[in-house]
Amino acid sequence: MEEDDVELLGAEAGGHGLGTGRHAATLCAGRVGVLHGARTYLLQDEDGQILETHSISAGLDYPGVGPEHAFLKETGRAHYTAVTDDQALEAFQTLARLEGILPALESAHAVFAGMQKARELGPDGFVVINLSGRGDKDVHTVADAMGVRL
Amino acid sequence: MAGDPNLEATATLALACERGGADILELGVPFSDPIADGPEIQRAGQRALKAGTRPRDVIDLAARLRATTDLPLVLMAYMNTVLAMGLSAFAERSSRAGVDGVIVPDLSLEDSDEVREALDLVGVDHIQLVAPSTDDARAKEIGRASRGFLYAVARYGTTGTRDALPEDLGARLGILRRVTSLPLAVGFGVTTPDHVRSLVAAGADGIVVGSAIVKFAAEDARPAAVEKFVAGLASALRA
Repeated sequence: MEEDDVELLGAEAGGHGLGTGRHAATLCAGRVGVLHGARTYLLQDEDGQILETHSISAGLDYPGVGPEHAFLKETGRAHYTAVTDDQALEAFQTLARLEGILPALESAHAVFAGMQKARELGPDGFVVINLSGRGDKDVHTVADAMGVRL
Repeated sequence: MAGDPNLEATATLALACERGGADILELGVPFSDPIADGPEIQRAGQRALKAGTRPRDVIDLAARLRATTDLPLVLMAYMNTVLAMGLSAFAERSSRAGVDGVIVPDLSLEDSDEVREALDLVGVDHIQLVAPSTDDARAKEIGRASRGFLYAVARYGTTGTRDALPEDLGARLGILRRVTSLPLAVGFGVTTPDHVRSLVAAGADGIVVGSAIVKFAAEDARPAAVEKFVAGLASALRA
């Protein structure tokens, strides 16, 4: 965090896309408010009513975000991008095929953003992806999404 | 709950409560995520939101009630709805509508300075809550920060009708009485006239009844019936 020459990138749940309202991209599309004891970015309407969110990954399907992320965004230390359900599924499959690792669907969002970043930076760049969880728990969800019967 | 099932009904209900002997009227501002509330008030909030009730509508309702009653009016609003309106806008509009007090149930003491200042500025009481888990030193600080009265939450958990009151309330109120000179109002779970009688005996200056009335009115909204229900509770105050 203190090493300023290391860029921090966060991947949020873009769900069906930011334009659809069916997502959970709190930092990209939310506003500061107070929910569940924390002052952070929230997906809310103009009256402060909390909005329904959607993500293929349960862990990201929440209208708030950890206040630490809110702080990192506000100070400009980290940047956040929205990754859609389809993109997360694509990354899930890519990592499984190329590395034999099943990422959690939550982490698959980061894998997608990481792959995009790697393309941007080119062969001389370094990208570290935090693979925050494993995807055994998501096998049925992915199978459903791919139309595969297990 | 303001707007359950619509604002007109709430106005009628409020006046029925007054006729039944209510001394203070509390209007709930419906919120999508009412973490302090149990099933009755959660459902009431959902109905109110479905009817399109907005926070500004509740303040407008207060203004309309203010024109017809002298009873103190208290708004119950979760912090995010206050913030979304803008703290000073919320305070100003509440004051202009004739609101006397505001309860923000998910605002802790440490975070309440701005809210208290904004409300102090316009002459509206910021009513604080103490929980059964609040220790004496903290209760004293909360008592100092509270305005109007101190709301002593009777039980752990959320609002909601219950069969029995917790056992140690007399002792609890005794401790609170020693740390604040504000009137003590007790609420969460008060359902029957017997509960009211017990709380008066335990030393409460005021009793807050929410879910029981919301539940009654949801089943029978006739003003005369609600008035009678409230009268039953209110009469236990003097018994």
